[in-house]
Amino acid sequence: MAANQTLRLQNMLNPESRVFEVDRVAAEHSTVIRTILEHFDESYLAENAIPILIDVSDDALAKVCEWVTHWKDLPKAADVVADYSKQGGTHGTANKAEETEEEGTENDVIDSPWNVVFFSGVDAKMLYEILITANYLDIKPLCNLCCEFIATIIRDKPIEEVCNILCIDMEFTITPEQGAAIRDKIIRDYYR
Amino acid sequence: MSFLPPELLLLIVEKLDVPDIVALMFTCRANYGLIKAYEQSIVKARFCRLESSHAFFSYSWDMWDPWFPPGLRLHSFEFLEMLEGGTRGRRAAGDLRLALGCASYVNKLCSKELGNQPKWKGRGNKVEPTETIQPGSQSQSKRP
Repeated sequence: MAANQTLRLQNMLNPESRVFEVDRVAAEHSTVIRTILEHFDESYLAENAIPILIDVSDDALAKVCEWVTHWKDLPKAADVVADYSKQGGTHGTANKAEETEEEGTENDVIDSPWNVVFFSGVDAKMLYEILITANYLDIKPLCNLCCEFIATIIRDKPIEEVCNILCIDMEFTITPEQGAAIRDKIIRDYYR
Repeated sequence: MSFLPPELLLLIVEKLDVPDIVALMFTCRANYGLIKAYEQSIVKARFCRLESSHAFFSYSWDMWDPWFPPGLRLHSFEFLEMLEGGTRGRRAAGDLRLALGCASYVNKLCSKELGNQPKWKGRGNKVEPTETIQPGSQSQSKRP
């Protein structure tokens, strides 16, 4: 299969979803797509789009495609593992140096100003959808990046606000009526 | 908006500081149970991050054992908060020798006062005052 071949992705849960075209090199950030490429024929992939089977919007899928296309030259996680296996999996000096280099690259991705621009126009719902899509396609750097952004949003916020951000019903909140009932029970049990 | 799956929530938790983790724990019962169940894993992941950022030296239970008061576990949020509090303070002060004095720092925190207090020895319930800590000095005690 040619290295510069484009792959097509389509959300099969949404019949009206559009087809996204991504470079093969960029799509290989996803472990799922990489596995599909290993197991399916070229002819099949040329005729059919790779199905995405999660309920996310086209905008989120487009964002993920944009991210992998921008960072297509970033070393893939699977390549790092393969290199490590080839070298016998020993922790030599050379391996450590390579690992440090890889970590540095991923840190560069997280600290990159491009990502700030990428996430600047994204609301919380879209951020969740990007995170869920990245998790489904197993794109680890994007997953980490989304989690980092959500953590930044949550940081130093009171519990009520965290609940609003994460759409959680506060179960530990006590209504005034419940509070009065508890107070009455304590008085009845201990001070009678 | 849909809920985040537990594995993603745990990924987010790994990137939060302890006070924020505690806030997240008290949002609902499911989150409390989840985060409490994965407390060890979260703390270990944070230790790895501290190590990889060169902000903290390698740790081992043997190293911490002599300084541990009874009731404090190595892989707990309480201990993590102590370590991160120490490294944050040192980072702010620009001191890159970092956590070399962390053991004595933990001991000082556990003894509740920073003055001359008896040193915790061993992990049992029995506390033996063997030496006193001078303010500003680093502990040189060895494991018995």
